[in-house]
Amino acid sequence: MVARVMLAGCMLLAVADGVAYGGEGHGQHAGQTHQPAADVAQPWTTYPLIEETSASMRNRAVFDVRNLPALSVQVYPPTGQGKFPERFAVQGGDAPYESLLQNGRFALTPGRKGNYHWITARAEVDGEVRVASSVRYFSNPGPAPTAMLAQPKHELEIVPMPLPREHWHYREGESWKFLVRFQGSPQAGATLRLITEQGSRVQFVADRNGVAEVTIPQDLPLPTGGANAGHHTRQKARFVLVTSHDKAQKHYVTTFNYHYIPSAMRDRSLMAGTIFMLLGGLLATPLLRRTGRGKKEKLNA
Amino acid sequence: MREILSRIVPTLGRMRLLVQLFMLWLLVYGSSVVGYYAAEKISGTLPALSCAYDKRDGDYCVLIPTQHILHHRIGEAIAQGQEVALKMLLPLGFTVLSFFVFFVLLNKMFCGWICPLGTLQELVYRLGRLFRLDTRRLEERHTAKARPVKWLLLVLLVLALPLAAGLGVTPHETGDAFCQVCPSRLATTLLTGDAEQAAIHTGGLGFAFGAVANTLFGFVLVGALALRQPFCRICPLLAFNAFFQRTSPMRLVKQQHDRCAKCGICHEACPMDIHEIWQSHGRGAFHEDCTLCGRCAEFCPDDGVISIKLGPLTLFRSAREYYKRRIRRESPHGEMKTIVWHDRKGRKDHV
Ligand code: SF4
Ligand code: SF4
Repeated sequence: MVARVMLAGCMLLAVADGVAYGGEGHGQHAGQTHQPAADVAQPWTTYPLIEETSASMRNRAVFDVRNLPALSVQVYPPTGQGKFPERFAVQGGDAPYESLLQNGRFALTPGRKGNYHWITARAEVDGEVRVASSVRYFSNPGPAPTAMLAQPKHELEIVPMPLPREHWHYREGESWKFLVRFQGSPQAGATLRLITEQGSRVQFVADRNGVAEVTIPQDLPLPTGGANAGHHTRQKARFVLVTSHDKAQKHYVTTFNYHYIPSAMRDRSLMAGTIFMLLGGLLATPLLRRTGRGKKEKLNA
Repeated sequence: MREILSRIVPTLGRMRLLVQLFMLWLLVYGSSVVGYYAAEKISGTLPALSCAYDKRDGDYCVLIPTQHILHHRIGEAIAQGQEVALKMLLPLGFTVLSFFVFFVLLNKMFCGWICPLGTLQELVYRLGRLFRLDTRRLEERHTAKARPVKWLLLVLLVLALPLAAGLGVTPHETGDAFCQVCPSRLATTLLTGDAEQAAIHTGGLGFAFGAVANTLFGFVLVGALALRQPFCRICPLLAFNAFFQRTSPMRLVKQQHDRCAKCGICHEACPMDIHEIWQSHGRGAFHEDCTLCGRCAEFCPDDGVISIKLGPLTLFRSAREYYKRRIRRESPHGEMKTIVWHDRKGRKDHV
């Protein structure tokens, strides 16, 4: 037990600030890469959005709340206990808190603990309840966001199941699951609309568990700076997921917005990969020549 | 109950195979058990090549945080003119500490019992025996050449290039130089049905890395049909683990024994072609390349000459009766059901 606690403590310290790893190599996490020009006035959707601005820095993210007359945002750092070994380690980050908006803008500075932060803003307009939500990842130690995502926050919610893992992104052509729930209950048959900055509009329907499998459209234009532009100039675009629900003469509209990057295979060639594998195999074939060793052993038998 | 158990696990070799298969499953597909996010992985610093590019993995290998810290923490900090303060070195220290908490228990058993790439190479070698291909071994002069390569790869790909990338001396892609060529990245992602890593970048340094990685992977895959553990011999993690080998109470122990000179089966059984297990004893027999697979102890025909020990506890020791049973199932080279008999004087006799 003591060893477990110690181990978990070490792990978390090891992943401290900038040491969270993942399959995307060493690019920054989705929430940290260069943002699309969110501050540009040109609206790409009229749905409520929480968009990161280019004023963000490594440990201070600046957001604008758009298309929503909210006065404040609620921030949910990852909290609660998760599975082994995390439950022995960081017992959650900070409690959820409210941040006032100034001209629709707010800054998010994470505590020492906590990587994923869920951000929501809510406003009622003419009997319609509008909620915008998004997420921001910081390279800090902290529990997995499982408990934070499971926690009900508003009436109607879109919950990623799961979020992209550390250093990963939503990518063109990939399918990701999202749960639609109303007052904590999954909404079977709910409709999720996906709208991208590139103009794609796709609709998905939740299954009986309230989960919709959303496929990110392949609509990003080919980069102009060469196919292999590298992590730091990675092309990205924004998307928003929208769902709605009616109850007791109230209309609820909830959004979740984030961004996506080009398909994994865009600047890769499986054919070339296979050719080099075959070349490697070919180079190893001299090892398969008869040596007589097998024969000797068989004779021994 | 005991009888059933001894039928399922009649030998140390079978026990190792079962552990290997379980760990292969846990490390390649284990995210459904351990959790999906980094915070939920078993350690994040495993002393075995378990790859973070595998989206369903159960853990990551220690070489990932090592490269990452050298690149993003230490290298970049130096490049920005900051002092390499304790704050920058601490994560590296904690990575090593976290690695060590696991490593100290099992030592290099992580190579011989747990590493997914090690297991896959052994399975391919078994396939080679099924196809009745001849086996290959590295002679002493070949191992002498192969052995320094793992240290070279550790220093160059795991330490120097990531640091140089952080300093801005080498391109960004070299920040995880070893991951770029690691065969486990290809093997484990392909096992989950993900072809992304097998597809190589079409331009720049990514193409060069991809070409090397895929050629190496193809070589290891085909070579392992005849030669045991071709990649393990040059694996930088073998070197990384070797650095801490003497700090663990888990170890291989060999007593001096008169009959060894005429025998040498332990050497024949050794998948790493470690001649020292035959020609040396004491500290020298537990070589830096040893993966603690235990085959030498299994195939030694004399009582108590080779043993695997955890502190004062003997976990397994060579024994003539065990050897007789073992050799009926498999030859020291891994040929199944071949019978090579050794009499008490160490002379070979064939049945
Ligand atoms: S020396 Fe023995 S335990 Fe070590 S790798 Fe060789 S056979 Fe396995
Ligand atoms: S198998 Fe045993 S007796 Fe034979 S050389 Fe090795 S240690 Fe000596």
